[in-house]
Amino acid sequence: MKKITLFLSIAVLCFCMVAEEAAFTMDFSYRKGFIRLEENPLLHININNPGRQDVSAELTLAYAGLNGLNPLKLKLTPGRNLVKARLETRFKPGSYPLKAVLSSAAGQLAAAETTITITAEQGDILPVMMWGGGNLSELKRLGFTHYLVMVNILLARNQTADAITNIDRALSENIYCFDRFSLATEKEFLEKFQRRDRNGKPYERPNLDASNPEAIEWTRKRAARVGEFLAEHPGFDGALINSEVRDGTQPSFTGFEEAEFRKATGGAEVPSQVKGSNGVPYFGLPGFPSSRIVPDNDPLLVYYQWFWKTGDGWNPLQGILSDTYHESIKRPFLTFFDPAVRVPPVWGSGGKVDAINHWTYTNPDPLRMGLAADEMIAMADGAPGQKIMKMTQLFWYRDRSAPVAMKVENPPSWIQEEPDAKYITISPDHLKIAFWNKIARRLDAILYHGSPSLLSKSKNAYRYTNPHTKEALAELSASVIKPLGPTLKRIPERQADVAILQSFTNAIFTQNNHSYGSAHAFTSDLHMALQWNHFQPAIIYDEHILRGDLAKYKVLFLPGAEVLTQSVFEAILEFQRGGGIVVADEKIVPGILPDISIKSVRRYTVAEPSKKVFQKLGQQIKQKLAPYYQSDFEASNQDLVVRTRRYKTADYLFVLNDKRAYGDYVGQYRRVLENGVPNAGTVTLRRKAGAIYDLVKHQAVDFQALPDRCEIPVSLDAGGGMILLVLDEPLAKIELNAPGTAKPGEPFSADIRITTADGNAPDALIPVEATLLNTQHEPVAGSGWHCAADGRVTVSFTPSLNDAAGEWRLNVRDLASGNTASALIQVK
Amino acid sequence: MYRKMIWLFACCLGLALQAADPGIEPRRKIRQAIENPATAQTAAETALTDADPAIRLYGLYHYTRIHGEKALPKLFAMSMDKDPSVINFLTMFAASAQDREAGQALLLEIMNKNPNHTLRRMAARYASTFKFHKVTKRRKFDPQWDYELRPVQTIDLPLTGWRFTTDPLVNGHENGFYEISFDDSAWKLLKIGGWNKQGFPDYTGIAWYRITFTLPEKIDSKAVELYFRGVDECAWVWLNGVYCGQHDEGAAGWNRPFYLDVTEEIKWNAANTLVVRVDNSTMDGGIWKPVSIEILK
Repeated sequence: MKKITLFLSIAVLCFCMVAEEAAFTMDFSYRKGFIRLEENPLLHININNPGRQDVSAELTLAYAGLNGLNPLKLKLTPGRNLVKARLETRFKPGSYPLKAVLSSAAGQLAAAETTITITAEQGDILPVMMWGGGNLSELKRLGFTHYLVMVNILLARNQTADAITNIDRALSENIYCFDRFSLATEKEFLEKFQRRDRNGKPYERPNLDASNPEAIEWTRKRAARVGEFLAEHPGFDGALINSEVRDGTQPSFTGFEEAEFRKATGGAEVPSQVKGSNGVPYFGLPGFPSSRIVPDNDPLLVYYQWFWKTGDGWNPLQGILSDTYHESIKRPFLTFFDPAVRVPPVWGSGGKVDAINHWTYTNPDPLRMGLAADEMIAMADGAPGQKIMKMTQLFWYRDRSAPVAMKVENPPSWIQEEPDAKYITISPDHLKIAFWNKIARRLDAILYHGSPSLLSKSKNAYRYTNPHTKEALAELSASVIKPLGPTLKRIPERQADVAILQSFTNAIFTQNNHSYGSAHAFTSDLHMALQWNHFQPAIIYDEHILRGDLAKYKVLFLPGAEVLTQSVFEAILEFQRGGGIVVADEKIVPGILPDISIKSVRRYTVAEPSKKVFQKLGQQIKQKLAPYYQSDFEASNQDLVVRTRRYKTADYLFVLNDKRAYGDYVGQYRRVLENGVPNAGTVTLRRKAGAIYDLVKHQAVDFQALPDRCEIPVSLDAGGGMILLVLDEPLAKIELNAPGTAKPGEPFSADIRITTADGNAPDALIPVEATLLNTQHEPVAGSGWHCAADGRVTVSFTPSLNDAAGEWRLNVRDLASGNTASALIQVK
Repeated sequence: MYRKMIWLFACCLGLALQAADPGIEPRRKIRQAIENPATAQTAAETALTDADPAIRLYGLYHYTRIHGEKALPKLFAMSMDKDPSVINFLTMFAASAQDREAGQALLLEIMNKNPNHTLRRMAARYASTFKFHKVTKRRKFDPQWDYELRPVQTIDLPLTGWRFTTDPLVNGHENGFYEISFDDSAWKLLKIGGWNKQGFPDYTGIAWYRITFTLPEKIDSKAVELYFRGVDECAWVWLNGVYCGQHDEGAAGWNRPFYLDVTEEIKWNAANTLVVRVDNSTMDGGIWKPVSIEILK
């Protein structure tokens, strides 16, 4: 009996095994997040053929009301088969259960279910990126379009499913992901490929030997893996490459850099005085000329130029990695590097990356944001076509805002909950002022970092101490970034006629006169002093001067210009001979006699007197220059800070209110004037105007029109700002030419034309809103904001296959004048 | 101390009043005159005595460019110039002269005759063999270091037991006063506080302090700093024989605290030798406020 039972058991087991072995299986790998109307919406399905023969089968997908249309005919080989099924995405955004059924002539072979999401197409936007993570729905509410997922780390740990899940989840909230490629800080990598000093010792701050071919190939392969794996996921559309690596870069004596230097110079050796990356102070250099003018081929200068441009290996490596990503990812994909101007002032930071980014702290003065943005523009001048992004830090260090050791009367309320917070949330008015200051420049994206300090309470170093700051961002997002973003990113910079030289030679031979992108040194405070006094200075490098750019300027500022090269020195003398005005402080080389002398001023620890002393300095400069130079614009008080951009004959005035006072958030410590104060006055633009529009309020503004200027009364809230469009002629109307009918699933276009009173197209970039409402009066996918160049733009929509047919309405609005137009479209 | 503050205020007011700006046109004329080969020599010479220090500096540059080292004797007349930029150029020019004797003579003239102590010291920097100078950066303010560093512990150095000597010949550095092994047993013992009341009334010039202290086992940290609350007036500092940096703001620095990074130089669980060279130009002088070690993380 026992033997029979045993036999039967074995027989049943064998049968089950055979039966199991005979079943086809299906599962969904890769992504389940898709973008409406995307070019290549492929759903990856793994099908296992358990047999030993090829099997002909049919795969049908049912989702969103589609039920088995266009089945895929397959020939399945034994084992695993990856099938990429093209999905239909012309649906309303949302989640859709999907069922896949595999069948053959013999009947159903397998079935599997999942849920896919279809997200609305992104449209024309100014990206807002969170350099970090955070709660997705909250980020979306605040207007973020991108956030960071450490994809390369997840892939290195073979957590590929997690990487995809993260990107899918973000995409479902209409947020795209970028990677932070940061191999350079991995311990084992550093140990194997560290920079070493002349004695063979690693430097105290570890840094990768980026010229080592083995290190280069290792990082390249890692980047290639990310690119190959995510090439087909459009929710992954950027990579930050090796952030912050150059802070710790030092001359490396492992053999590779020395060999490269010999190759670059025809055999020269690294000068013996070279010990660190930041140059050699001229005092004590034997034979250093008393004129402090060095020959262009000074050996130390040659070395350091080579080092910072390509020699330390980082800029070329960033370029290699950028190329590696682009080799696999053929769709729009952005590589970037930061902090791009925390280096001496020489072109090339980030190598061939698509964009450069830089972060700035808003304390003590948020106008530092504009300073750093101008430094970015100067850096990107050396890589034509390179994009510029600008990041605001969402937190302040305690010792620069509310030092722990400092006891004050009436301490702020947040101290009770967060007495030991290392980093605290910036004040809402600082966020606003910094925002207005940076978007006055032409940027391709704006970024923020320090998400815990913005979003909600956390246990890490970044603490959430001010709940109002995120609401300030939400408001700016809704009223400025979204509606005006497509236009803001297109308005060209206006050619400045005033410049501040940041000299590489000077940085290398004095080590202390450069800003390093951190608002260090007098040159940085001078820039802010000029902003407060209605100048619009460009930052220029030695390289700008050597390519002849001084001809564009009327005034050249030379703060701390203690050492210059012969060529730059001669170009400045030539500039003066041609009538250019030089303003310099007491450190100027003796061979230049400034037209106007100023005294460098030291910043105080206390915020208010510091701001006053620099506002006063700027005022003195303005008074001395007044007989010889006037800016194109003016304002009635120093806290109305103005900047202009220009497109053809249209001027764009960016006005911000920097009037601030101590509050009770951190003001007790006197380190930061954290509260904005309302401010009113008059802004003057030295041109004739026919009409002026407030682009944020979408209406014309009153002004006094004079033959050679226009005077505009302004009144701004605390931390407030405005963008004014100044035109020769008023805008008269907006016209809409749309088809009378459209079909679900098929695109249609509509032409929008804005004209002036004389019937012509304005020479201007005008923001336009276009909203397509379905039969339920809901805005449909594709609705959004655009930029009408010379008053014209064509918008397209594709009514969803699963949206109700009937009478739809297309509404358009000119966001300058507020003029509207509308058209009915029969969708059937 | 109040007398010193009033004296400093008077100096600053004097400098401010002296620095009158003649505007663009006069300077343009001078530039054109000096750039014109026919008038360059005369114009440069005339510029040497202009009321505008920027013009004097410019004239000096061109005068030396035209005459080379033959200019040196003429430049003695500028040794008492009150402008730091003028004296700085003069001292660099004199220090780089091929004719070392002539260059040194001019430097000595400035060192001995210039009414401003800071400018005399500027010349002394070039004249003497004392070349110790370092561009100092506190790690917490390093523009290329983006992390918060906060003090987590303070170790106060003793208030008493500092070995002290004056250095009127300004050659202490040549005699190894800063070396660990230097025998300072013959030096006087002073405590923290001005030296006027400790046996050196109204001494002006260079003096040296030495002290040895022991530190505990290494404390977990990212940086270590020496914190000087007050040295009257300037200081140059060595730790364990290694030069760490200076506090050299002239007389105005007498009451300004300063920090020096000593992360690399500090020795944990060992004796450390701190040497401070002080320069004082007027009234009381010395390390007059406590010194401590700050541990940062």
